[in-house]
Amino acid sequence: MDIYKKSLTQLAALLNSKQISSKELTRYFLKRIAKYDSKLNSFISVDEDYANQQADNADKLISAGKNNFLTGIPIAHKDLFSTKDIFTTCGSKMLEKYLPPYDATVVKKLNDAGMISIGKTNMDEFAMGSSNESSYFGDVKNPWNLEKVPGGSSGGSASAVAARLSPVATGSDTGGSIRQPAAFCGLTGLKPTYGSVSRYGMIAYASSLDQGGPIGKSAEDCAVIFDEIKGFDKNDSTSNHQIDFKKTQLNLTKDDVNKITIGIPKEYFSQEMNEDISKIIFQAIEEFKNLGFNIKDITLPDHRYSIPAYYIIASAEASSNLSRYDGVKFGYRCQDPISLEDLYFRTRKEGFGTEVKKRIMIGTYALSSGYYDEYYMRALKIRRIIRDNFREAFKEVDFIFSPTSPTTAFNIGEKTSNALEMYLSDVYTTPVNLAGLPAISIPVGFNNQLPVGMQIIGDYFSESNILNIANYFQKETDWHNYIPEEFNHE
Amino acid sequence: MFDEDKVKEVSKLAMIKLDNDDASYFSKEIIDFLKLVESTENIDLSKVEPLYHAPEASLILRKDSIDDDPKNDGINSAPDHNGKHFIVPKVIE
Repeated sequence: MDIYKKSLTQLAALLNSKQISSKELTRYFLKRIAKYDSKLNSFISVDEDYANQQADNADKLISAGKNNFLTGIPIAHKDLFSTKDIFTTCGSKMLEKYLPPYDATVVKKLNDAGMISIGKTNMDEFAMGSSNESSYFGDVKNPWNLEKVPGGSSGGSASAVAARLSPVATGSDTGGSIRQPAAFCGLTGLKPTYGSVSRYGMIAYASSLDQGGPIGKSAEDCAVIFDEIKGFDKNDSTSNHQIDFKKTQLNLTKDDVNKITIGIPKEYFSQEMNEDISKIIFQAIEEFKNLGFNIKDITLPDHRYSIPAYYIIASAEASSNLSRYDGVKFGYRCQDPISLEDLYFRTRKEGFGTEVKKRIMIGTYALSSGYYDEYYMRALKIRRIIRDNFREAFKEVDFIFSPTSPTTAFNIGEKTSNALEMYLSDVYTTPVNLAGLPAISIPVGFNNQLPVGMQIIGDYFSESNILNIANYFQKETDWHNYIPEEFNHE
Repeated sequence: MFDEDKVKEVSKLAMIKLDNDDASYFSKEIIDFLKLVESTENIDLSKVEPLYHAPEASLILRKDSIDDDPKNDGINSAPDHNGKHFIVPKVIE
């Protein structure tokens, strides 16, 4: 019955009507992982016993009629979400053998809802990367073309869902790490408003930017997961209490659509944008227009400063956050240290990969005496300008459309020796993180057999509307239903 | 001016041991990155306040009391410990 193609709602219906048990469903996806993941490397670890045990519990709840909507459905977690007594590596040698003593709030909420944690997905080391090539556990491949990157840093989650090895996955987005891999793999990925989803137990990269969210096959699937993981959490000091606790209703009508105005920022279609992709994005915009949305040109004049500001702020926060990896409290420790200083210095040399070390040093430099104002403070001021650009735009329009990435998935190795080019892959996604706004990436076409993603950006806490707009488009189009040929079999 | 000596200085602040090859690699990479940052030098930021967090929401304070006793089993994750203390090389002679 082609279970791998089913939406979360369809899987819930199969479980509820007892056409399939959670144990069978879990085994089905574990089998797909065993069959296909050697080609992709999308998982770092799969704990079959734990998944089967969770599935047994789910089946008991379903039999007793005590189940929730998501009870019994498998999900894959990006390997930066702490999972109690299950290895959580963050893609790093530093945490290769780390067993967290507690679950992240996101994981706890999904466990409490009865979901089955089917495995931990590969990622760029400490979420620092746009191609999943900085993982200590090897590159992840894009299911649409095994020579291409899946994007990053949630590349394992995107690759796994695109190949239908898991019905849905969690990801985290600091500068585009949910949206860009979703775009590269033909998926839908939601980066919520900063503070909507608890960061408790999510291994920190840049705390003022990090935000967890879902990567799924459709906006409908993302809505179901977002509803489950959102909400105030006393364990996260930046958790926001303005969050809308109501379930997302996907009920946008033609009348609603006619009242919505979408802004198209002219700066986002400049020379760095690939012409073919630009054409596909404009076709999608045309489709939205035909559906009744009002389209208006707008300007976000300072967006080009996002990349330098983002990399200064993220690196500064990373240099502070990653100081906890000292070989004492947890994680890797170098062999036979001769002094405490030797322990610190060698542990961090051997435990961190090149990109992580580079960003720690950029951050340390930007925060160091004599350079703080020139770099860090300057970047924070640019951050305000970028936020104000969006604020002005939202006086004129309700939502903003943009490409998710200037290119489709690039070749593995293509950008590893040119870091700046890699950083520029995030040109359309980082402004959203700097401003703390919500945005979704949805698939809107193909270029040379590779998916193209479009981003829908909304004002603070407008996730429900963003999901509705994406869902409205997906009800009328088919782009989100395409599956890579090699994985489109039982 | 950022150069190899600066990288060595920064690596000490960051507590990361560097070989000479590393110093040369990272200085080149960071110099390239700083060129990108130079592109922001022409913006007038004299009247702009820094933005640390967005959305700007005040932090929620809670009572300064223990509401959930942590078992402190985190120590089990340490590379070397005796159940109560982290063990490190001798610090005092």
